[in-house]
Amino acid sequence: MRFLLNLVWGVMLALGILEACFRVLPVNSGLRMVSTSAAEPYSRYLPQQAFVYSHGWNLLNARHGTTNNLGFINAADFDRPPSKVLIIGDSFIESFMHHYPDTLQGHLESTLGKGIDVVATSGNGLADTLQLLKKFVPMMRPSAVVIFVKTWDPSVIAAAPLPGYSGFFNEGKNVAVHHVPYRESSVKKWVTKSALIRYIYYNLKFSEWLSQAFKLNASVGRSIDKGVLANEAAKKLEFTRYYLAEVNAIKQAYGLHITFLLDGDRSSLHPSRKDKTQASTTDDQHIFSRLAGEAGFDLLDLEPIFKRHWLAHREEFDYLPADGHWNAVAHQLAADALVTRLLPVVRGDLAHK
Amino acid sequence: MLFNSFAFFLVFLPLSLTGYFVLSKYSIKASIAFLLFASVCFYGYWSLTYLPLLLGSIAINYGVGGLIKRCKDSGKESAAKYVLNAGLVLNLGALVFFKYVDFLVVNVGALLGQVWSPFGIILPIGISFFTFTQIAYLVDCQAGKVSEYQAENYGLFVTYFPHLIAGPIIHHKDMMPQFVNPATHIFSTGRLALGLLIFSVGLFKKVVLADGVAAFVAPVFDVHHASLTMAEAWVGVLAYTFQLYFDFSGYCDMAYGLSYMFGVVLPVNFNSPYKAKSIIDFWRRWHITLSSFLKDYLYVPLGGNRLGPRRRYLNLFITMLLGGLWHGANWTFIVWGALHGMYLIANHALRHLLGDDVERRDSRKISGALMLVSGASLTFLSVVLAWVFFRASSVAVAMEILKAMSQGTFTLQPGNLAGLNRIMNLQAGMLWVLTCAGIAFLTPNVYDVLAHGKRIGIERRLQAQSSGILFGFLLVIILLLLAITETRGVSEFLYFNF
Repeated sequence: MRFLLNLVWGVMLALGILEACFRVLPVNSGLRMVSTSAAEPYSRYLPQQAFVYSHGWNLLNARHGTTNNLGFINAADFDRPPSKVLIIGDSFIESFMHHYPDTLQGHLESTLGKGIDVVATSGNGLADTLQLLKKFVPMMRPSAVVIFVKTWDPSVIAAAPLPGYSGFFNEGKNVAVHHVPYRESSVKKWVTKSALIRYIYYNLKFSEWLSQAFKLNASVGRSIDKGVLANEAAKKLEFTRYYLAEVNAIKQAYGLHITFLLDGDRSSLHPSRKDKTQASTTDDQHIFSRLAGEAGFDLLDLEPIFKRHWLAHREEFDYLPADGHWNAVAHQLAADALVTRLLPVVRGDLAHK
Repeated sequence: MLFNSFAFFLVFLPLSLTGYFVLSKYSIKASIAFLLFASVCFYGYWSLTYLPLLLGSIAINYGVGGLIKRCKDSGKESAAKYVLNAGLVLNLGALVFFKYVDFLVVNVGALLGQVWSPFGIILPIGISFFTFTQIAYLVDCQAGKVSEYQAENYGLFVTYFPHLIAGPIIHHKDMMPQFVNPATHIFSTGRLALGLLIFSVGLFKKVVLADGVAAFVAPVFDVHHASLTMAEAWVGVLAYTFQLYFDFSGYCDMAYGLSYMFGVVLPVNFNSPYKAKSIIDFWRRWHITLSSFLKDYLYVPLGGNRLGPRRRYLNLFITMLLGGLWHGANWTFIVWGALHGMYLIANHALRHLLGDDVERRDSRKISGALMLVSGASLTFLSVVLAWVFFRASSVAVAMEILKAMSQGTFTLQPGNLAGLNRIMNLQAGMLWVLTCAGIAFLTPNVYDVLAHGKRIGIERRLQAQSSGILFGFLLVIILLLLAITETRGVSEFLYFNF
């Protein structure tokens, strides 16, 4: 009995010491999110919220920051329309691990001047970019819009969305976008007050690991039917066409210049990279590029740009194997490439306005 | 099942400890049989395919050992020798087949100007260790050092899970008395807490230090080896130097701590080798049980130092060459072994010139201190250079990295956007290397602090006062370390590959 009592004391002592240690370390604070709904169908954080970011067990790329007045990261406060360029994307654009001047938008601002607005949140897919486009183009009235498309976005276009995000669905013969609302759990508000719990939840992503571990065990031995695969491919094609048609409608309605910024397949740059992109993912991206090109969109594929830079300078473009997000090199190269596309649009449009 | 996994720590270990100590109350034989069963399950979890190989090897060697004893008991010394030789051929034959046949096929083909495809034989995990353990057993049988022949004890001696996969290489005479000693089978919370403390030190070394510094190794050795700046090459090589150090040191501590919980003391296998004053000293500290094995069962039978200095140097060279080859079927390991052979020859020759007491000279005197510092520095540098071959995927890659270490093979040019952090965060890498160096050079190891062997005094003190507190405290720390390693993707110990 005494042993057990002492054991509890030992556990409490360890928890206390760990909590104290993690409080002085840059543990990921996490960010509270705004509840979403069909009326506000896009994910964002509470505005003007201070945060600490760090990645993984070793607190990689630690950084302090604050969300802007709309609740987005690495985005200047939105003042008034019109904006020059609106960038829509996900965690690659949001870029928690970089200070604003090192991001794509930071570089664009240093070249094109103020008026670069960003609406990007981790986890966004193509359906979310459509929701953001519909919401923020009328509000910001930009001259140009840049939509970031990462390598696997076209492949997961038919995937079911998580709470806070949107997805494409079939409604009879039509396609529609539906949003899954997000409500913050009151428990989360309280437990994340502990630095130790935040470390386990945000840095280690323990709950994700746990659910994945169980999912993996459950899926062992299952195989996917060929018919299901073919159906999936047809669905993806249908959703991609719908997506491009919707974006095109907005483009026409507002007289926008829209550029799709396509992430390069960085895993193909050198043979020793182990994170090879699946052939089906590459195929889906090619289909997306072809359809977007046919629809008259401006496409900026970063793959040849990354490849050229790699051959000349042998620099990496991400933080793999720890983190697959772009590093500062990729942000700058993307910005340099975008400037040449956007400069005439921005100048011409400003002159026109 | 890895020591650094939830499955091991939360399921296997508690079940094994409970079964072992509960059965010990009724019968020591039953608890030994249970631990043997648990160890076989431990191996089976790794590889069911090779479980028959392990069990077959145990059965054959147990039979051969018994036969040697019977021959010796009936005065048939030469027959005993024949049986021993047959046993050695069987063991080495299995090792050669699984470990070296593909290597031989490819290289003999190349020698004949042919391209011969390897068979793709998969190395059964732990084969190098359980084979060497049993070779030592057979030789000891022949030398009359074995007096105990219980089948379940022998089975446990070979399969005992704390040492089965990556050592230490244990001796029959050290283990058997412990297995059958009733004191071994008495449960005490003090012993459990002390074992857990040693285990947690090892787990920390593995999860935080070895796996942490490992991030700076792969970019240099696996990706950018052909074009590296001097700084990148040095950071990569030093990072590997400390990754291997803490990985193996962590494994040895964990194995020692686990075994201690069962009341069995394993031999110390790792004793702060980077503090070595010479290469001879280094090999008394790094993988101590392998060094002893090679000395006792290879170097001495080759003639040791009994046949004059030239033959002694040749024997040293052959021993290290084969020691290198033991680590794997690759020319890189052969070069690594050859380098250490040459280092040892140079060290012995230097001792011969400067006197045998050269490393023991008074370090308070300037000449002694100078000798100590220069000896330790030269030893460390030599070891680091040899590790390049140990880690590189081929001799050509190793040469590229060595060239980069000496003059750099890539120059940063205008247009480089990441500067020094071109392939990895170099400043962070340097900080990791310095931290690891500080710990390796300046802190005592767990055996310096707790001393080796059964620490009955500490166990009793813990039992009486604070074993519960220590146990609870360590439980939280261990669970956090396991959460880190599991969520990051569990990493195997480097020595599991050998």
